[in-house]
Amino acid sequence: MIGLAHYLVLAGLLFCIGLLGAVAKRNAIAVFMGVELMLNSVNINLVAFNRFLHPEFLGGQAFAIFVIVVAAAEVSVGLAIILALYRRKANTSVDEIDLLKW
Amino acid sequence: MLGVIFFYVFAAAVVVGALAMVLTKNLVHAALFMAGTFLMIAFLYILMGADYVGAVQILVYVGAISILFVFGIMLTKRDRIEDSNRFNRYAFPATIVAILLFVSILLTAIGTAFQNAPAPTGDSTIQTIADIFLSDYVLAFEFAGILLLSALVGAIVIGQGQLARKTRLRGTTTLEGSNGGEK
Repeated sequence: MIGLAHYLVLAGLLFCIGLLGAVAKRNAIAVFMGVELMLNSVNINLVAFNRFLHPEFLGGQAFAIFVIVVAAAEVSVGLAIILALYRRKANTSVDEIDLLKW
Repeated sequence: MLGVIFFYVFAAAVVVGALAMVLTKNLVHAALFMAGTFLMIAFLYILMGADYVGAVQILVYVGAISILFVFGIMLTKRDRIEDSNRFNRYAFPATIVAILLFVSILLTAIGTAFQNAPAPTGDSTIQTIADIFLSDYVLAFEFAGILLLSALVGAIVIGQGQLARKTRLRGTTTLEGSNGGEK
């Protein structure tokens, strides 16, 4: 029988893959994809806890939808920032964008 | 029994898609693998009885965010698309950190004794979620609307280039100039 631990392990694996993509990628768009993967794994956790611990109150699913809303807003603004950066510096590599680095 | 098979099939597809997304060298392929991964995650939601969250996942992530990523890739030029998704110099320590984090999550998730509730009745969750949104979480619901509006305005302002801003300014000045000439 599939229990809560199965979904938690799956979400943890997904989170770690997303972390690898967010930390170790050179292209800013690929970094963004890693962040989206991490947000999705958190959503799986929310829905799984809701389903297996408190199935009568759907607060976990409501929070998953809030996370999706925030992720959509974040992606639109973030891709606009990447496009503005590309227009100014003509590349999207996070190694080159170090204007604020001490 | 069918649920167990479905879970393992979808979970394997999610993990394979996520790994392919991170490891592929082609950025467009990475975006397509990301869309497939999101679709499989939506199936996992439906498997858990969260039909509305699964539908929202398909609408927002697969339909909108993946396409937005493809737009972002297409609008930024690069040398060779086959070699556009490389690791930076932190690839090795990041892999170590990710593996260690996964091992700790694995030990915690397996070692904790959760009281698994029985399966839900299979009713649609839309009615309940709508009740929650408009009673308990109504403030967060309204703030989500404000957040989406501000993100829309912010994306337009940041995304329009210097050129668009200049032509718009020039347009207003010529309009005012022609009005002044008629007078």
